[in-house]
Amino acid sequence: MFQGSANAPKMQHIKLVNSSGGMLNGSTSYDVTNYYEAVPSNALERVLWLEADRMRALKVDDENLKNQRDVVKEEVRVNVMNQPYGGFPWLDMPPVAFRNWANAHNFYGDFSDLDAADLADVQAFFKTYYVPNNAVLLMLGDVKAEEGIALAKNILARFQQERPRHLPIPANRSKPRSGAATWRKNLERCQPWPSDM
Amino acid sequence: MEEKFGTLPALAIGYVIPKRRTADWCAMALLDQALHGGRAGRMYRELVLEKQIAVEAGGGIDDLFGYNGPTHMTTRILHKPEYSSDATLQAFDAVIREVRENGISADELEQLKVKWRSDYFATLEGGRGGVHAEIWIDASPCLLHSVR
Repeated sequence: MFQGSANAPKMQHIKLVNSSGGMLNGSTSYDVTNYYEAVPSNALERVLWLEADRMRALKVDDENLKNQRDVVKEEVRVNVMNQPYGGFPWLDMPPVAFRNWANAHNFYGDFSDLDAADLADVQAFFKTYYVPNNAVLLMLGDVKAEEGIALAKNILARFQQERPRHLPIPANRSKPRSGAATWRKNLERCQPWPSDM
Repeated sequence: MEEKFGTLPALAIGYVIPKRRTADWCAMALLDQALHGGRAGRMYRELVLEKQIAVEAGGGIDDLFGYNGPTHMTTRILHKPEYSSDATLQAFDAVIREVRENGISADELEQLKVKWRSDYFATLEGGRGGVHAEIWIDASPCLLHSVR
């Protein structure tokens, strides 16, 4: 989502937000992924356009996939593998507690999972979930409701015509509960890398 | 220099939490505050300061606002190697038992609410300007104003 879209080449999104005096980021939680921009109000139209362009026509190609796969691996190395108790318990608990895949898998994905995801998988995921009717747009701060909504309709809604209108089928999130506590022992695998000082 | 991090035994216990936006869910948020409210939390006070079994005892709810399926309130304890996992777990259970048997007093509840609200309002001042995942999931910005 930060690697360019049809009308905003690579880095353009970040450059335009930053040069407006704004900030942006995104994050993934257990059940939702969010992207946000905080900008001065005169850049609202600009960021809505940027969001619309990447929702409509994100550039998902081999080069971007490889780049972003490495970004995720880097995050895992820094946040998990090179941190004492790095995945404990936020990555370790769900596979012990839950049985349905949606909740039980490693939240980041093992490196083997990341490597296994090919371009077609990622494009299919994007086409299924990154659609306007599976998204919630929230605007707050220095914007009048009617103006913000009009802008959003003007910029975002017209792309809706070009994308599927059916909502993705929700994953199975039920938890088969045995009634008994479940336990697992984990080996701490932190192996700090060499560092110089 | 030899890197010596990650050598203490650690224990984590998770409880499945109630459905979002129910009365039990609100109670769970305050119970979480009672147990894991930083150094004033019962876990820290009991396991680290009083019994001195653990060097770290904290926890929380994975994402109080952002879940849409099963999720947990988790306690995370790093304990001294001379205490077994069982002994540590017993000390944890004693904290839970105390709440179960004696409940939370009105005074403590009031303090928990103050701290909870204060933490919540602090999150609204972050870079995202108060954009909470619950708003995405429930698609209702009015919820932002319903926290009391």
